[in-house]
Amino acid sequence: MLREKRSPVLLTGVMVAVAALGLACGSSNNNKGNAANTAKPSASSAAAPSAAAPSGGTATAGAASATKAGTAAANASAPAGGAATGAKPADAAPDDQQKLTIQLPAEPETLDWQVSEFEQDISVEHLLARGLFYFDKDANVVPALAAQMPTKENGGLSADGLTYTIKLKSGQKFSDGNPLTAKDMVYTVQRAMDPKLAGNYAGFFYDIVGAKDYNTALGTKDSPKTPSDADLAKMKAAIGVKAVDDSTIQLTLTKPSGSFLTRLGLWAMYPVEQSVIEKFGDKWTDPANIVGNGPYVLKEHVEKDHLTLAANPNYTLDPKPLIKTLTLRVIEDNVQALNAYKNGEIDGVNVPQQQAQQIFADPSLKDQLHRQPRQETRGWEFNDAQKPFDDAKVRMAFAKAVNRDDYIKAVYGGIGTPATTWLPPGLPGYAQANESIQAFDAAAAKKLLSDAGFPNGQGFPSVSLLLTDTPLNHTIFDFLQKQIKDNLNISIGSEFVDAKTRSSRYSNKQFTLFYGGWVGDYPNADDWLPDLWTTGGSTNKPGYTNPQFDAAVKAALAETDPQKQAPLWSAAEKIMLTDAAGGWLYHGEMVMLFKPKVKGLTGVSIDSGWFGSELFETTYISK
Amino acid sequence: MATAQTQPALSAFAAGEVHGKQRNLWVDAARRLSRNRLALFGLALVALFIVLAALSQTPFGISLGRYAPYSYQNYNQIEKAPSWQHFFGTDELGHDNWSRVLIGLRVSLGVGFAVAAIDLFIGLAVGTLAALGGRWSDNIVMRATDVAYAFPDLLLIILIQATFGGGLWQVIVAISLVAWTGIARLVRAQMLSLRENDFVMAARTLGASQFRIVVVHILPNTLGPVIVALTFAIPAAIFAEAALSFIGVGLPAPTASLGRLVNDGYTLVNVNAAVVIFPALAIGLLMLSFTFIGDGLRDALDPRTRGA
Amino acid sequence: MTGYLMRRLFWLVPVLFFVATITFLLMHNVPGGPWSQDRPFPPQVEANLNKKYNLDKPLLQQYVIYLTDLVHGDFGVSFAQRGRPVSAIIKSGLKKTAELGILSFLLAAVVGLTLGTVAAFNQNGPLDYACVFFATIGASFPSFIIAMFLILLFVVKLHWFNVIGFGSWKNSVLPVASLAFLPASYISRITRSSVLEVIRQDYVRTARAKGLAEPIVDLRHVVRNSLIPILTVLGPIFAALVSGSFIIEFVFSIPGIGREFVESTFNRDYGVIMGTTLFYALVIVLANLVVDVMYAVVDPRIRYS
Repeated sequence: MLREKRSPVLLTGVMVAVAALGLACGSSNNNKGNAANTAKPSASSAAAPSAAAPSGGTATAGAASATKAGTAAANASAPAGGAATGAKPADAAPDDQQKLTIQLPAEPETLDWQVSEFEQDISVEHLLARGLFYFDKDANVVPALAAQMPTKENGGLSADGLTYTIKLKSGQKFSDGNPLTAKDMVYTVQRAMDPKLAGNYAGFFYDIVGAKDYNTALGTKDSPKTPSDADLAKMKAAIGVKAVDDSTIQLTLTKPSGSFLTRLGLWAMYPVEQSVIEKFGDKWTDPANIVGNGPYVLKEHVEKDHLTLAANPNYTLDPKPLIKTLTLRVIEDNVQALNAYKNGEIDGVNVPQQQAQQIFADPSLKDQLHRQPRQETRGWEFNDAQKPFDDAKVRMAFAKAVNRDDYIKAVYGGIGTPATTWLPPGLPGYAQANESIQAFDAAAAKKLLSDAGFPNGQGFPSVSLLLTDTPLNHTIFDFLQKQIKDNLNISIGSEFVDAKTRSSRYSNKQFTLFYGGWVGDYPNADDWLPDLWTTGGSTNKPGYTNPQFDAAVKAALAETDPQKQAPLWSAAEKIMLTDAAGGWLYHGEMVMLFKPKVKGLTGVSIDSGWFGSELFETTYISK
Repeated sequence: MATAQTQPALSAFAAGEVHGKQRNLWVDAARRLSRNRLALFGLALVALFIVLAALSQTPFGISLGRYAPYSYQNYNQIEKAPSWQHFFGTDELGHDNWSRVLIGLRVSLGVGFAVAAIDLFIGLAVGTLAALGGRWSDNIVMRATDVAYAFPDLLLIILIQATFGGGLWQVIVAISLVAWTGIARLVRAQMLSLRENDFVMAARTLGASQFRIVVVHILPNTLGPVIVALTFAIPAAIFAEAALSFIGVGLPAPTASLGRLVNDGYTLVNVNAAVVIFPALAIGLLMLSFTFIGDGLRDALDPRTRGA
Repeated sequence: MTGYLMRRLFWLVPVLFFVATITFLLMHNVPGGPWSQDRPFPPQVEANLNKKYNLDKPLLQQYVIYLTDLVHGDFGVSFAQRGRPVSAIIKSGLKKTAELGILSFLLAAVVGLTLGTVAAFNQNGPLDYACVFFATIGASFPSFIIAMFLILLFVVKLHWFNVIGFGSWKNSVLPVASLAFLPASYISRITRSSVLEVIRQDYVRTARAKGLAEPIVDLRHVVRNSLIPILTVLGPIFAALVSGSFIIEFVFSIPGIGREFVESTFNRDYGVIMGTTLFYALVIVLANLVVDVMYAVVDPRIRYS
């Protein structure tokens, strides 16, 4: 799912207070506080979110990665409780100086990892808890709590591909010192699917036997169901998860899946301690109560101000964190965050698009700059069911009419890369060969438009682009409307609305032209193509439909071997690119500055929140 | 408060009296205003801005803006400092900032005057109703302004835009719906005070009708402070429009108001301060000019400061 | 007067009720809901959320539930800060905002009154022009522009102060100054004209004619008498400052109530929208009441009966 970070990107506002005072100057009174102020909702189209997760693969890919040296991947191969303790680098400063303060661009919605969906939430939760699997620097899935990757060869996966038997590393503990056993994992899975908890990512695990039945037990508004507590308990017990013994968990699926282990590594499956949840209820995420099993514990949380995390002395995985105190300062205004960084108030900061060029050009900042391509794609989305965009030629004309190089340079300040494909580079299934299909070609675009019955743009109906009202989106619109005017001789209008209005109109298909896209949750194309673009998919709002594409996706989904699966994804993508289901313009990138004293940062394409967040334990302060 | 039938002769006499006084008041005021250098400076600046705005883009080939404010984009001239080629520099798309500030002036002034006109209309009507309609209507009307004051205007604006689409008039109406309360309260206070004044008493004693008293005696005497307030309401509306742009519920791009330019430029302040300084300066100068004019008008219209 | 006050306070109830009703209707009619996002949740997930927060009930029923809870002092919970009570949000937001607002108010009052008085007593002198210049400039720029340039100068160039947060003097100076600029210049303008007006009054001339020494005339007669109209504007300014400024709180990353008020609207965070709007309504109505009372004090011809 595309998680939009709800940070107001930049805003400002007041003025009505100002205005009120101004008016009052005249004479009498006037006092409206600052009633209408401001805020800016997230730049949806632009700011970005990201998600978590990883790997190209599956079981076998994970196993392969276990041999990789260095960083966190090392612990994947470490036997339970064994070696690889993450020795301190020679140039590390003493422990009392291992303190780091970085920008968190928005206040977390919740720290309950079975509920969360936003990037800033997940970045914190990833430090507070760890699941059965996580990801290495190449975003391959590797074991965390699990002793090894379950495969058919080692008996971890049944021959029919439906039953996973996962051994835990021995001696695992929660941060309160209590043992973490297979029973806790069973409780975690059941809690994640609890319809009364209403976890946002529950839908990711519907392929576990009985999970969907339990999660949908309450019905919808139009067809409510009122199961008894006994019924609910029965459905909960029917979920295909059980503890074989204290250190073995067994999961049963309804159908084989190539990405299941990857999804098991996502935040929604991080363990929770039953006694804590039952004791504190909704308040369990308060600093005094929260218990996880991650490298850090939550010491302090002042909403919309900061979170303080301290190294967890009971952390049982390796490597151990080198930074002892991490402060996440909630700063929504990226401009001021950068000023705070320059002023030495924080050690790490996001680089806003508008300031990127200047920072890239500054030699003194070169060694502080950290860049990591993200699994993110943005561009045109059309209402494929409505004129004029029901005609693939028109859609392709729009796709081919935009000069991506200028676009990245002028609009995004050089952050990100030009896109002509839907699947971002690095994602298994991405194919260089598909790049040419939507490549910028003004003459071809013009011809396509003419073929569609609008020579030189004549007779083209009026269309407008639906966007959230943010400064970045103003720039995006200004640029795109000019490209379309220059290359197709069509004047497109704009509709700037607030983020929720935009989302709701999109969901209800009330748009003709939309600036949309996707940020991957985990590195498998099954997060990118099915449902989003298949006929009748619940998130297929453009309404694209092509039976050939549907068949190609189905074929890819049926293949669980990642090596064989990738070309099938490429073939499917080729169909939707050729039909110009959408027109893609931008692949995202995370760009941050860290003070020179911050060392050991490792960027991963699934970093969530900040550069190096996925493998944060290796980060340290140098002398 | 129905009064007895008017006695034509007497009330005509009374009216004549007041008219004479009025004329003197306005003539006096104009003379005093013309001696106020700051006010003259403000007037001149506003006039200059109006001319700049009007001539920024013309259909006749010669435009003060020199470039098309929206469609001129030069990706090889990005974020340049001011020069002869681009008086106010360029932004991240290579837009010419000078042409955009001029068109922004036009948009912002338009919003300011339109909102002031609507405010005047609503404020006078509501304020008069409250002051002269009796105790109950006063109470109800003033509580209604309390509600309007405390109104969740942000929600209203989002709703207006969702229902009628985002556009210039929607924004103007949205601002007006919130801003009229100030004028209404002022009108009411002024009228309550005037109602007890000697000359109104005199007119009433002479048998002038309620309507006549309001139109001939009270309304004109209310106008002075109201005009002053309007002078401040215009830049206040420009500020408010800027606020809406900042909030993200303002005029639809590419339309560039001064507020939009400032807000979009805010993200560039560390990169190319020219992009934000000039529109900010334009807002500041507008505010300054209207403040001078307003102060001048108030002094000129207030007989107590006569001779000061 | 007491009767009048009682009546006005009684009116609080219907005014707040209307505001609550209008806000409730509006917020449920603007497009989108708390869970709207580009890629919507699976319908079931959204259904579970709606059920959990009573959003699946008919609107009228939700309204009755809200009002009933409200009467019992329960403001509901936030969605955007999942499950956090609205009363806790208002409380913590108000604390920061009030600290910031009171400091700014004091600064604005001291600076404004001083400049205004100095200007009036030096009418048309260089000091007068200097004060008027400051006052006009201060009122001519939106607070965020002022904040922006203060930050450029004192943070980016000089490194004197911090830009993030509020609390220690190092990070409080700039937000307080940015917020105080506009009201300070406004107060100084009102003070100047008010003092000037008093100076011209007959009784001051009389006092002078009686041979009272200038400073005594200044203090006893002029300043005291010119305070009254100033007081009428200090009320609303105080109300505006302590009820929060989104912009200053946003720019300086201060978790105040101004931010909650604005951001809740964009998040469709129904409970927080209601809570903060009602809070604003209360502040505004009370401030208007204070002003009306002040009018009566200033101008005895206005009668409240």
